[in-house]
Amino acid sequence: MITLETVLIGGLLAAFLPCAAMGLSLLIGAPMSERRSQQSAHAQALVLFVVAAALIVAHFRGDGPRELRLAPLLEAHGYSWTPVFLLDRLSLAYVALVALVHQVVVRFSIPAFHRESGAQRYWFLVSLLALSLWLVSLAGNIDVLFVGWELVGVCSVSLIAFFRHNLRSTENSLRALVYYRCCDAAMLFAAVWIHHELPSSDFTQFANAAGSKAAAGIGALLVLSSLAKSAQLPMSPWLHRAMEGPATSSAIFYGALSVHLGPWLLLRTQPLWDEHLLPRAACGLIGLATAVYASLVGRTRPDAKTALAYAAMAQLGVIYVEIALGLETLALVHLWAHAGLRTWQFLRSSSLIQDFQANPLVGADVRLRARAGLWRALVGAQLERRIYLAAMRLFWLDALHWRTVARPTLALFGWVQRVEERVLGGAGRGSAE
Amino acid sequence: MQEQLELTVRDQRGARIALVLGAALAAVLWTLDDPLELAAAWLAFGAWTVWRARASTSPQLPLLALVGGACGGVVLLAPHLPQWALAACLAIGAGVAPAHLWLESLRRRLARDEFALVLVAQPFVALLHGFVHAYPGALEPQTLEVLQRVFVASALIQSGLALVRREPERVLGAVIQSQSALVIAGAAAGETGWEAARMLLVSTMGSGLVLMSIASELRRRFGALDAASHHALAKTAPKLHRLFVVCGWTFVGLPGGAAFFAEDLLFHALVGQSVAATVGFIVAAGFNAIAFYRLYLALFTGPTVRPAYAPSATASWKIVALTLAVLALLALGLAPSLLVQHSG
Repeated sequence: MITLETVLIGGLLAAFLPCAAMGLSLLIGAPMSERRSQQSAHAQALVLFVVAAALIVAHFRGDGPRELRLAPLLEAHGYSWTPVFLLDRLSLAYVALVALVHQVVVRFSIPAFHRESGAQRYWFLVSLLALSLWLVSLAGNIDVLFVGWELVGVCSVSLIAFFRHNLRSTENSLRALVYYRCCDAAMLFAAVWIHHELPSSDFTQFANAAGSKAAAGIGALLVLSSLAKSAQLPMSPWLHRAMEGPATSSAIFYGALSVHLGPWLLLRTQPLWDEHLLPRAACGLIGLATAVYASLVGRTRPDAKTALAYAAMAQLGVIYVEIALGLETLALVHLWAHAGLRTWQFLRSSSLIQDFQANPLVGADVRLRARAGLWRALVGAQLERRIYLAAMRLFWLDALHWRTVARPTLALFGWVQRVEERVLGGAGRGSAE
Repeated sequence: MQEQLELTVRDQRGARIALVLGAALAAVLWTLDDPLELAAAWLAFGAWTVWRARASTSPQLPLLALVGGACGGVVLLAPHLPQWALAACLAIGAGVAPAHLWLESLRRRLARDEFALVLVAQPFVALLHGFVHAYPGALEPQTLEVLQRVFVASALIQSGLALVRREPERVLGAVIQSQSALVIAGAAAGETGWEAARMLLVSTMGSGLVLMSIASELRRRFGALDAASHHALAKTAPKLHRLFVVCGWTFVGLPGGAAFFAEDLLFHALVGQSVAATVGFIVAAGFNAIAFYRLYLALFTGPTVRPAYAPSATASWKIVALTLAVLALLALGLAPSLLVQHSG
């Protein structure tokens, strides 16, 4: 008898194997042929698709939400790291989204990466990212979610730096990592706090723990930890830079899938903090501020991919507001529709001009016209110009981060190093410093 | 000319023998339980570092290192000192910032491989382990708590220094010192903390060995490298590149390595004792990841530069050994319970 457990675990293992094979062959320096890499990625995408379909069918046949608990990976003095998976409406919605979009990415990447240097690395990263997204969506407790969350971060950063010879790509990937690590630290602290204060770290038990004193604090930390992945203020400056990644195919992954992990995390943990004002207010205000910020900045961007990144950021802000207002179903539907729309737009972004010209509704004489409407009447021409200039400069957010966080931190440790050198005299023998 | 060449070969052979001797002494440190024997082994290891420091640079004694080493030895021989004195000696002996200056002074005087051995062998952890094992009640809980915070603060400083260091070995050295300070802080957090510290220690020693070996090999092949510029070595040294990136990510606590579970376990052990120390720990771990990635980007990415000369290749036995070490670290990450003694 094939049980739901067998399907899920078998599916995860089957999706893990091609990924592991590609990773291992890269590590030992015996790379696969291009065709073999493509086949592995294709096989994995197919497995994810079939397993997603099987899980959804099982869910709708009346099994309802199911929690699958495996044997602990680590146990020590009362501490236990147990893989727990949760199959419910929310997890299956995201699993289905990943399974569908992954198929599209694989299909479009095959011609895009034909004879491209580092193609196997690309296939490995894309496969690992898909698997990590699955882990996040199927996680039944905060520990499993954190594993997937971390892997998604590293895969995204590695994809941004895919073109290693391009200095801007690598610098942008470092910047993305810094934002990710800041928010991952918040998630790690939330996870530790959950283990310490709540009776269980399982998501199914969160509703029972909503009355806990720590729930508001944990909720606020979870909101904070979701900001970097979804590029919400003040953690937004990395997203448009992430578009340095290879082609549209990887942009889909972090432009249409991994950016939705923030709202997804909030939806998943909402039963815990829903009753508390602090996390809800933080979620709503941040979402609103980001929606306004991204709409304004997006209008000043000259290229399609960056404009799309800001459009995605604005919509994500709206989803945050919906979550703060307690409209979970609307937020979930919005998330799905938005991811679908962005996937399509990212795929078409490289042929945007041709699309415009070939569109019979637009015609051949496309002109960009300034539309003076309600907006100008409300703010006046002078203020509008000032807002436009501020939006062009991203409202000085980069400079603000640099001046208030990065530069003081580096200056502090630079000073410690200089003191060290003054005490010991120079940087030492043969040092480059 | 011929004579000079023979001299260089003889020097190299001598340095290699000295390195093996140092490794043997460090291994002995980890095998002893008796405090007197441990003190003797600690002093022998200290004597080795002094000998090598004098042989490598100048005949002057490395005074700071001698003071640091002596402080470490004192705790084993006089465990009934007042609490503050014990704590101070342990902190200085373990190279807690600002007492890390004695280690830093030693780095300037030892050959690179020899200092890498001092870092990777973690003699300070061996000393502390031996001390706690031999005199279980010597440190009062309050003293342990203070020490724990001091070690976390030191880890934070070291990870911050890793962000501004420019020489690859120094960046890695700072990350290793930060991790080992976290190991010690964790070891003071009860039985769970000790289990976690053991896991993190294995990961730090294994990954530290692989990463330092790769950095040393890159220096041998390509000369002095600088973390402030891009060297684009991914194409020139693809095997070392792969090993560096995989080992580095697992070293700084990415899922897939033992450090991930060890850090998770350590956080849980620590949060019950001090929230501030836990926050410091989390920030230090975050800094370490950023420092590693910055170094990786500097060494292996950037516009490809054609080297002016054809650098010699890495010996295949080295690649095989490093690959096996990385695979072993990954296997431990998949089965972390292998590193836990008392499960359940």
